[in-house]
Amino acid sequence: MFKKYHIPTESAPSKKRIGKFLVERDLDYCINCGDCIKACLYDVHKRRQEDVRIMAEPDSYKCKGCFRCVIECPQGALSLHDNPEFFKLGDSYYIPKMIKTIWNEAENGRVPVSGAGYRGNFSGPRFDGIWTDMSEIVRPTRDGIHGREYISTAVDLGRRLPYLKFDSNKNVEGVPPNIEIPIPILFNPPPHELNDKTLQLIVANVATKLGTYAIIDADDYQELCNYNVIPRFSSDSNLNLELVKRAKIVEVDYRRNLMEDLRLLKDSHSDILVSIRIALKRGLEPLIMDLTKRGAEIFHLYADYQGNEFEQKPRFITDSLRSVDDYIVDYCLREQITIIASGGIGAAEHVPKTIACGASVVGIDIAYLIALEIGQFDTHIQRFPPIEVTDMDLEWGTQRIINLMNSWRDQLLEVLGAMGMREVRRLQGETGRMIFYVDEEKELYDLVGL
Amino acid sequence: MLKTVKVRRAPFEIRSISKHKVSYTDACIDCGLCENICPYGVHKRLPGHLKMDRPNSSNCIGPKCKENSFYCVSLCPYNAIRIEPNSDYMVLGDPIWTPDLLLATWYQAETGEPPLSIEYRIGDSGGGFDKLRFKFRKESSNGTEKEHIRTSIELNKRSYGARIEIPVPWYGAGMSFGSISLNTMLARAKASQAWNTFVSTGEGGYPEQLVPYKDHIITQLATGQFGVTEQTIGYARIVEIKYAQGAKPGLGGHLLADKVTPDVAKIRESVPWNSLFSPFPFHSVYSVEDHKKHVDWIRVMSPNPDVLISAKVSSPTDVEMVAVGCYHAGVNIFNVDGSYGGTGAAPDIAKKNIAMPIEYAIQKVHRFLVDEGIRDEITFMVSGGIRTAYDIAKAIALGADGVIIGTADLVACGCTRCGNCEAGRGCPHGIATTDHELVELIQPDWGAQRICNLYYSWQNQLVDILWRLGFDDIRDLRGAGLSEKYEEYGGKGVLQSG
Ligand code: SF4
Ligand code: SF4
Ligand code: SF4
Ligand code: SF4
Repeated sequence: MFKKYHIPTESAPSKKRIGKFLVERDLDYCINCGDCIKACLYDVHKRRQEDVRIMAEPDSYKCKGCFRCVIECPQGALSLHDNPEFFKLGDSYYIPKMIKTIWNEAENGRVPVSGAGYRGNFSGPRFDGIWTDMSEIVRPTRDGIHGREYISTAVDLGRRLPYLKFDSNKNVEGVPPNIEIPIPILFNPPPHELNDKTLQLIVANVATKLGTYAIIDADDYQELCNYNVIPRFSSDSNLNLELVKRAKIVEVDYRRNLMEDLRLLKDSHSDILVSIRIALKRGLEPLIMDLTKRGAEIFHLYADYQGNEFEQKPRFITDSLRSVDDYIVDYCLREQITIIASGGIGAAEHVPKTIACGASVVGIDIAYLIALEIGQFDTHIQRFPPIEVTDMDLEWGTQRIINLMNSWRDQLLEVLGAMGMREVRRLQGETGRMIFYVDEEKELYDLVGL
Repeated sequence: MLKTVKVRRAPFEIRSISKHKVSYTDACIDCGLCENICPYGVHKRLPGHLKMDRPNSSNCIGPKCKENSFYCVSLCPYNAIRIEPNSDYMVLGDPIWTPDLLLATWYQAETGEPPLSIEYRIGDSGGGFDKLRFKFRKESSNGTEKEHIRTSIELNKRSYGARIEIPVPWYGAGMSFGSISLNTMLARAKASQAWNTFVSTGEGGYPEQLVPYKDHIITQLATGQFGVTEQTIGYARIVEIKYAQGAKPGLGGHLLADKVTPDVAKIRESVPWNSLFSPFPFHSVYSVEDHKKHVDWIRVMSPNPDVLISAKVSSPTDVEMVAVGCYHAGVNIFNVDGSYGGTGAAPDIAKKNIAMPIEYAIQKVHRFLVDEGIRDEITFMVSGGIRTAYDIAKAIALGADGVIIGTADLVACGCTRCGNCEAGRGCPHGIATTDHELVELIQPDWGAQRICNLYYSWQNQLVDILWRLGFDDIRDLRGAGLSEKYEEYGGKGVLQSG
């Protein structure tokens, strides 16, 4: 029977409890009438336990900013303020709103839902300049109530044959090794500044439970080899064939005699998959083409933590991927390889947008750190406060990231469902189903005039 | 210009949020001088009281009052008056519905005219309507010439179906029973009746309390088909088929994981405590031909042979093709609901990311219909993010015939756009809820008067916009925002980016 992929979520409440609002009661005006207790539907206002004649300090974390108590207080004693702690979160890329969204998703594992319409800027840079398409009428194959649940989010890691060949016994010949993962998301290693055993264990644990993979430093492989991990050999480390003999996938940084190393790996473990990790830059296309023609199967193209190329004047990851994708599509080789893209993936919608711009799979990093409630950091100058992961409840951390992934997967289903797509594999490189701000603005203002 | 509706003041009974906060320092000796200084009634001492009452900050026009001879701050002999930005104002709103737009809408709903010192025309989203400006040709007039300016539009341009004209270029969007309270529905129905326009039921059925207003109610038929019967279709002069909704395009209803109990899950063959989605799309409609059957079916079923059919769709990349499809299916009204429109509950990812904002879709549809030679046979209404009279005018200038209003009606009734409609007991202000205690917060007559007042203010502003552009009929504004190069689409270049 068809077994539905299911991610087990469970509430994993915030430890930091930083809300967006601060509710302030002006004690000079408050007459302790208690009207606000009734006005607030979310239990912000209570009387003091030790003296019920007096109002307790408002529990601002629970405030949803509806303004009802502010409006109804007969004394005008209440006011709402922006919580300064909230606005200190994150940096210029991972803005407080994104962090709060991840925190909510990590807490309950659900799709964030709210009433009233959209509340942000009309458009924005990077991912915010892309909208995804929808279909008004979809084919009957997408059967209503159940349809969405049978949309597949699985993707393959490995090389795909352009066509099948059969031997005399009618068996398919020469199928290259291939691994299917149920969600198009892998875990990048955390920034070096944060490298910590418990943190690694949490991420490896999450990857294993979800059936996907976490990329780790090859030096740490020994301890984590029972988990779904991908040991990575950075450009300054030598391949240790003995060490990775149990691994299904390894990642190798692009290096001078790469193809030789690849051959060595393949010779000693015929089933191993090798991902070639390359920093995103301009002009990578011919290199990727060349490696593809010489048998490369997986590329991991990584941008910096803010999704930018490693360049003086960087393009954003989506633009970069589009040009790589266009190039290999022209040579009809795109379908044969897997492209992992990482850097700057910090919200559920970034996953389908990155895939539509040409990735097969995305890798996340800062997003799972945020789920673990890292709050004040700066990815631009690589400043990460030490998170006290050694003390961290292993279960809590694991559950938070699992919740986040369930929420993101459900949101991916929403986006695919709206487009009338039955599997995420078909989204790869579908820029025609994306709406780009730059194109639309140009069309509109060509008509209106400037 | 037709004026049928009277403005009557309909204030909040409760204090409303203000932009500036006026307060007295300890130096105040309660002399009461300021009470006589401020012409806006900010300072008051209740009869028989020694102390000054709490100042009514909502009426204060803020630091720009400095230019006036009556600036209380400098006239107070004890320098005891403070005027500061109000922290509530800073927290309120968002880039689309800015705090100013919320305050301005509340003000118009109360008084029927635009506020003096608050931005009531555009928001701060940095794009779309907020980036378009009118190139006005004249400054404001004394009013007499404006009497002849027409703001009415026709809802049917086909050779068949009733001829229906509404005095203002808008009607009310579908908001279902369940997503909003019966009282709020009644308020909207009463306002539509007063203005001789329409409001749609939304997909949650047709409460019998609405029947007295049936001439102004559009029956909506959506994928759930909740409460749609031959009878409710029979009531309507216009039936609206909802294919999709802008805020959640391509998604059906959304049942929160909270509500998927093991029992619910069992019936639906799903996993308990996991979100569920009700159908999208219509399972009877998989093609344009099916769509036509659908439309014909309503025409046959309705006892009213002149019934108008409207199709409501969202804004995908091929929205103009959808428009032509709807034309060929025989609809009278084609409604595109842009992605930034309102909702009772929708996934945030859908609101922000799926389908294009209405500003882009309008000109595409308009031009395509013109090119196909069918523009004057179909009424093209747009919705999803129309907040102000200026938005209405801009939408029409981009090529729509008229607009459909949802959220603004709710804001008129006191919505703060906090987004909590779907959580727990629903809207804390009693607007979008079915909680029996909360619904009492909105009285239908009061709500209706506030919506009427807002509409009154809007109609005056539209007339003013038309006059300043040199038009005497709103129908001439259609497509006029496109540059002169595109005269075939109505282009007169009255818009610019700014
Ligand atoms: S409603 Fe106002 S006066 Fe009454 S207890 Fe609350 S803060 Fe104090
Ligand atoms: S603003 Fe609303 S949610 Fe916040 S404390 Fe007041 S009533 Fe409660
Ligand atoms: S600043 Fe002007 S409007 Fe405000 S209270 Fe003083 S006099 Fe009145
Ligand atoms: S006030 Fe808040 S909860 Fe009520 S309708 Fe408006 S957005 Fe929804």
